[in-house]
Amino acid sequence: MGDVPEDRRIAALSAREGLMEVSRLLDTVVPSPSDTPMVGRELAKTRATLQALLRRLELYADMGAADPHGTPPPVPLGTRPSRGLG
Amino acid sequence: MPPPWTLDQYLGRLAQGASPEIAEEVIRLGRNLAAASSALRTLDGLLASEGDAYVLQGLGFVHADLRWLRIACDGMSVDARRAVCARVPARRRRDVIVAAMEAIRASLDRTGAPSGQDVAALGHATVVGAASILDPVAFEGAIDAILTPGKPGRRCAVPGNPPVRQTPHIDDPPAVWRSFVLALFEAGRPRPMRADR
Repeated sequence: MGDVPEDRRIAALSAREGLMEVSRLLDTVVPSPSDTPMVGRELAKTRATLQALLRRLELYADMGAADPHGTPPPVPLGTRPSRGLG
Repeated sequence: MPPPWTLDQYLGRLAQGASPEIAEEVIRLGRNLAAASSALRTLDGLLASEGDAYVLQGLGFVHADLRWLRIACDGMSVDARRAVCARVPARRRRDVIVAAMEAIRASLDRTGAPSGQDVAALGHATVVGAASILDPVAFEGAIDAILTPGKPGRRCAVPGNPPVRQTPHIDDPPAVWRSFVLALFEAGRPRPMRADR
């Protein structure tokens, strides 16, 4: 099963299940034009981060061989800590 | 004497008796807040049970985003509470204001100290501030109820207690209103008898 550590594969499987529940809960959040823009903005941002993590967990859980070095998950856009170019 | 109504009960009543549009709006806001809170609790559970650093890092990013989403939904809940205050019948407003003040005190009792992160208490504080403009008579009545519990009509606080500072302005932030409410409770708190007299 590639070089993805078995512990990580199991952790990914477990986390994926919980995150699917989070995704279902987010689907019940219904923003409205009467809301502050912050609601829709934060909802979209959370969904994007969640989907990015789910895709990464899919790799860990099901396609370990495609991720042979067990590289860390990419930091979602908008939450990426600033780093120097050096 | 019936127990005082809570703000959440008023929200429920508002949803029952209001027009379909308002009812749906109140239900929607409550559902959004409940979903965001439930999602956050699920994430808390995942963070507590996972051991892999890479997975934990990803969960941490989702958790951070969810916290902001819940704050946004909480903000809408504050607006709903303010709307409730405007729709409460005049004869019940004093009870609503007192309930909001009691909720502020109760939330602080749980955490032990005023916390800038206590969104629920700030929501109640918003109601208190809105009430001071909406119905000054009911607002003064609520203050009397806090300052002189069990003695309606008395306009002074318990002798020897710290004075209550001036009522905040409607534009003051909820935290200022919350401090004002706490000062009211402190001023109305019965003092123990001194043994050296």
